[in-house]
Amino acid sequence: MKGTASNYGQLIGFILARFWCDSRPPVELSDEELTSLTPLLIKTGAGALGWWQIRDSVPSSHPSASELHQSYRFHTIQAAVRLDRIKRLFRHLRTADLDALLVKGWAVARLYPQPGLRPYIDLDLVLRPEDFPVWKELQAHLSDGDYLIDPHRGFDKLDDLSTDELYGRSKLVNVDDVQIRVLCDEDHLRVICLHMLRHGALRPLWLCDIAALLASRSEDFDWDRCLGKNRRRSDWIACSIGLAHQLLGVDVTGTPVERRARNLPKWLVPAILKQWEAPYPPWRYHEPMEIYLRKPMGLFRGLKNRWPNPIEATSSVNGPFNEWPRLPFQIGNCILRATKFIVDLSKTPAQ
Amino acid sequence: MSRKNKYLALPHAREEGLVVEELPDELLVYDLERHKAHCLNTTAALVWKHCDGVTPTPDIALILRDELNTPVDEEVVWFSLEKLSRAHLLREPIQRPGGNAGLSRRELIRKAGIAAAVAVPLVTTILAPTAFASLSCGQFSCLPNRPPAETCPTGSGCQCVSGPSGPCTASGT
Repeated sequence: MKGTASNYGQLIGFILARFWCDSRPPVELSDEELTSLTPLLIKTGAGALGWWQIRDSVPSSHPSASELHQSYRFHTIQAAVRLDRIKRLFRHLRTADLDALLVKGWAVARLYPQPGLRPYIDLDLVLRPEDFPVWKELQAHLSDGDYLIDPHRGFDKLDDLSTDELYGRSKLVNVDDVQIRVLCDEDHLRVICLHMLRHGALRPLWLCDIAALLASRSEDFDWDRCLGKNRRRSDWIACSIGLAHQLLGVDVTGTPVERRARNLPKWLVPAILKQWEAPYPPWRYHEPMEIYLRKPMGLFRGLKNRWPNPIEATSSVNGPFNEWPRLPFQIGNCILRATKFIVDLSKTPAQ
Repeated sequence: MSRKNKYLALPHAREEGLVVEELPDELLVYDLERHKAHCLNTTAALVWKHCDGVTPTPDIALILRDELNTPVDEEVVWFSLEKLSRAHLLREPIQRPGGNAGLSRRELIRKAGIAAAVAVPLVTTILAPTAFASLSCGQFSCLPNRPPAETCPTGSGCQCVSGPSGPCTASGT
């Protein structure tokens, strides 16, 4: 593929494709394309990876290359600082006899050619529910500014499997004198695929995470374990891998998802590309829904601003990734959210 | 030489409160106390690495000459030290003996004639990329009376870390 497409979403995929490969063809982009893409890459946290990809093909004096390079430096040193903090955190956890597990963020950044290429801010720390009281005590003694921790009480919000099962299959990664527990590759791939779909595949880096995990998987990767027994979920995961195949060039040859990866629903790739072109549209979440109770005329504008993308809508209503139109799923998603809003509102004491 | 000048001629790199990351052509340093990141080019990085508190500046110039395989004027070392000192990367602030004002980059190139062989020592502050820093999360405020997971707009990729009405930040999941 050559950088001639007019579609910015496609160009983002083109720049980030095969980032895990040692040798890849140089990325050829026009000045205009690179200039337009740079803020998009930086905004979505993919600036460092963007620079990694163009570093041998664009002169370092190019203003966009220089901006991406600065992004690379920034995230590289941040990654070193964060790893330092993670090690400190896990030493604290070990002292408190807590066996916690890291998901996403660093756990996947370590699989990139360099950890700074995959920036993260918070730490998704999963604890067994019974360990949560001890964790709360420990957390009270940790400096908030040092650790942005998103603690999870078990895996309820991340996966269908039980916490015990996921812990039982997890593994320890040695980082200097510290051991950090992470999910096994099969479970991790499933969790990040489902996470990406749940959030409407907002960020290109989430697809890159899937690619990084697939590219680094071992020969004995257990596909049955990864895909699970739920046929719909299994198809979602296959579609996520299909996106990584079609947009980033992940090799799926000989895998159980090969056929599905090559035959995605027609709406899926355009939906993700459209999302990448407008990450976090600035108008989307401006006003809390409560405002529309006082200004009902704004409801239609609010609805338009909150209209879910087809990926997010489908996964939120547990829908299939098939060729059917996505409108019913999008309406379903709005009804679900509106119902939740009304239920929450009814629980809020009147002021 | 006074005691003060003797000390000033033996620069000592700061070690505490720093995280250092070495790249092929530069050195990245994060100051945990000031929350600032710096990028040192090869010349500045070499000078900094040899600031061990016992090596005087003329000797550092000689070490640089050996490592860069080209003559290096002591002015290059002083120029680096001033930059490093300004970035708080030395244990003590450094001043030239006799209180001479530092050279500008242009003057250094003219005086030491380093343009061709040795890169001008550079210590630059690394700022968060503008577009990343203004990532749309900053436009949201944490909503009050909501469970922690819902205080920032769902699906926005943002999270609340500063309490009700504080700004949302990107949840780099």
